[in-house]
Amino acid sequence: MGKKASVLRSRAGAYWIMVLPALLWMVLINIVPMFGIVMAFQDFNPGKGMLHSKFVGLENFEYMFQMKDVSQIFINTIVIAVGKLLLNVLVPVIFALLLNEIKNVFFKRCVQTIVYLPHFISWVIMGGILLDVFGLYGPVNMVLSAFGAERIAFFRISSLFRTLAIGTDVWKEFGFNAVVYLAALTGISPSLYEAAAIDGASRWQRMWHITLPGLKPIIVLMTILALGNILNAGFDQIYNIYNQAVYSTGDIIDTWVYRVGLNDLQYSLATAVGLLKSVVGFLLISLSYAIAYKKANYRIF
Amino acid sequence: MQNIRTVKNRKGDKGSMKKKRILSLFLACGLTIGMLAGCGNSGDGAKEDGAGVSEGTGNAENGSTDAGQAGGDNLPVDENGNPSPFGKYAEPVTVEIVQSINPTITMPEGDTATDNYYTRFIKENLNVDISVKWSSASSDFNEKMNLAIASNDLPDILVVNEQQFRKLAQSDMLEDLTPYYDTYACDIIKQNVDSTGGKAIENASYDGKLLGLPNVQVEADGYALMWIRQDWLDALNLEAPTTIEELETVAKAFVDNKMGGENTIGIVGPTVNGKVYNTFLSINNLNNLDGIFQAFQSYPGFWIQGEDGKVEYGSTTAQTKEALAELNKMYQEGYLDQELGVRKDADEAWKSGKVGILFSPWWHGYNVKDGIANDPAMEWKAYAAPLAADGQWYPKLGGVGGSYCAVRKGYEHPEVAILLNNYLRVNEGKFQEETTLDAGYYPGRVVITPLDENSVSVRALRAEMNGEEVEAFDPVNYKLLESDLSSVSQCLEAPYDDMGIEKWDVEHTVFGRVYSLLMGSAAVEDAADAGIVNKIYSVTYTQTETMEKKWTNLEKKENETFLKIIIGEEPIDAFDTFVEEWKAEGGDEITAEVQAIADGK
Repeated sequence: MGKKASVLRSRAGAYWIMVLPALLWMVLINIVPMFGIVMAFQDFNPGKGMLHSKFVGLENFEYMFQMKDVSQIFINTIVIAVGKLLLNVLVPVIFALLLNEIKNVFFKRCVQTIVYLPHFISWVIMGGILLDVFGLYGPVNMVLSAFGAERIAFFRISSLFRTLAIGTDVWKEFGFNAVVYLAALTGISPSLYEAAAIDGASRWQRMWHITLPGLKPIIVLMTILALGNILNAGFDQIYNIYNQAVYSTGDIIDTWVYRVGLNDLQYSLATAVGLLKSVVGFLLISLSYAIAYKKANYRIF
Repeated sequence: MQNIRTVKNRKGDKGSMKKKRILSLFLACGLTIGMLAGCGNSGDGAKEDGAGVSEGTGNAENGSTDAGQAGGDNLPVDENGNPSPFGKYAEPVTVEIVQSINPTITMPEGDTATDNYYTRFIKENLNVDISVKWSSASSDFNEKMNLAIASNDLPDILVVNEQQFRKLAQSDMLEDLTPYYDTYACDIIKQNVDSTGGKAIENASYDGKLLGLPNVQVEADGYALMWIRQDWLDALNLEAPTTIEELETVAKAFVDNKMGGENTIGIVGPTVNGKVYNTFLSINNLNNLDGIFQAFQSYPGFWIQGEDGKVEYGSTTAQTKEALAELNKMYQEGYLDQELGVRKDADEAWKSGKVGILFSPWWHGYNVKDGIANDPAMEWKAYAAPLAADGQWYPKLGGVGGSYCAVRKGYEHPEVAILLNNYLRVNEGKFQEETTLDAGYYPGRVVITPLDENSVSVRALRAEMNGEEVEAFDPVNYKLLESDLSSVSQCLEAPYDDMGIEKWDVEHTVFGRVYSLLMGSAAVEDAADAGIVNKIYSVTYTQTETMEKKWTNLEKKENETFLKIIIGEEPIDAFDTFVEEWKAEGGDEITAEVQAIADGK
């Protein structure tokens, strides 16, 4: 048996083969387009392409920092993303804990299946559904007006928009996110609960002292993974539910870049903002990793 | 505690290890399959294209240096073999196009995007095969086109708007049409283009090169007319409103009497992607509210030159503030569209009979039949109203045209773009009679018309209907008029003194046009005869240098503020803050540039 064959047949070799498509995918989708960053320092001309467009140094960045818009979209992005980040951990954990207490297996399965269904509907469709549900003549307003309240065009009120964006996202994803926590819950040894019950721990105490510590590593892991997306407030979602009246609170970096880059054809400016987003995002990830490393003893590398 | 955790963890690790292994296997398989499928697809796509196009594109790329020569072998020639505006290629030529499709319009049975009345006509007369690179719903078309521009992946022939045209021209992505225009443009197109006093050619040129065939639109396209449900007016025994106060009364009556059932919309507003009013860059917005702005002599989105010669941006004037206050009032009182700015589809609202009043151009009449399909009693009539306090009408009108038919740089038969439009220009009357297929399906179509086409047509039609002699006209220039005159008696029942909707044959192929003319354009004619029409033009209809950078930001601010004022989320005084900020953030700079244009005239 040659050495090569043994590498391939070894466990590591099998893993490498399995991970290969994903690596290829990452190079193609995530690494190759990175060269596009060069557009941020150019006056990009699609006819000439990236290699031959004129370089303008930091002109795009100078203009970007003059725009009031840009600080606004960063604020919007961070508020929406942080809101989603926190609630997308909190709500699924609570839901998983509650569901875990249910003893009727059939009911439990049903609930679990139903709540994770929305996850599989794309935002294009979900956006339309939500606009109708919260629309001026949609079911929500029908209920409101039945109680004599005035009809509200929910998605057009800028002060409500972030709440709605975060709320609908959490609603759509909590069932699916809870799956991970439910899985982790099954990993907690029942003997611990038995021992605690014998010692006279109440349900509440058992949850606090056994279940939550058991979930802690996975909560930390999920949070840190989510931190990588801190500046992704969800283009798919926002783009499908926002409108001109809520730009002040709902316009996020990605939607702005999309409009400026592809609707107004200012490729270089859009790239500059996108690059800024990436840089800030990278710093935030590094920071959160450092914190996780210190506080939660979490390490990727 | 620590102990417990480690125990648990180890257990968990083992379990999850197994799970992970299975999961990664699945993922790996899934990805591989996905990739293979992806490759397969793109292969198919290439093949599909190849059938029609790649050959043409391939040649163009290989021989872009001798494009002239390549084209020289196979030119559109007449019977004598001379290059001609109405020539035919000896060898088949393939043109790749992109299509904007109105998803509500269905194609005649058996027809496809690449095999329909127009493509057959073109094959027969020009020996040109049409292949479609991509098509998209008209609402997404611009975005898709922008994407194609950004990735420099253009079809051979493309119809683009002002902004796209500038970008393409600056990026040197378009073929110079100057020599082809001279040789191949037919006389009538040249005549129409020249009738703009050089303006159309100037707009379509960049660095002295003609980079596109400009659209020359009929002047009538600009007028935002008030279309109103005549059947509702009659039922309530009301007159069509002529002033803002009367408009309020009528709209309120429509809503209060639930003419369209629950949630009747008095005046419908623009959709989520729509504009509240036409701007110097964007004319022809449906269901906009220009009609109401005009009544305050407010011209938002236009660059207006005052009598003192000073240029002002219409969105920053005191009149606009007044108009916004009025719109806010209408909104608060419930007869202006409550879903203004979030509505996905305004057409659906009026087609289903919920809308009493809308502001649209004369050609709203083309669409009327979709509403009648739902409610045979639905009757739309157009008025030049509401009028300003001085009894005058101040319609905002567009420039000479806002679209261009251009050719991808390197395409070996640039003249096809011009020839296609030649054939369209002289055969439109024939098309109108022979097919119901939407003219938007005609490849490379830009509308080129005499400016006064509609008013000439209305006068001729009225003469014909009154049994008078129709004034002599040039049937080539007014290409649809002969067909209009001969078919009016077929789609409208005589006598013609009553033109109620029940007297029309809605299914007739020319119904849309004749109805649009006799309702929409006739309203403009009547107003002109009454001497109350004051046409408002913008100083410029293109972007200045500073605008290319700063306009996005300013326009966003404007749209957002105005919408918020109308729906009452911000007080009317937010307008003053907007004006200040607008000026500070580049508005003053841009105004100076537009002033320079005005002074240069």
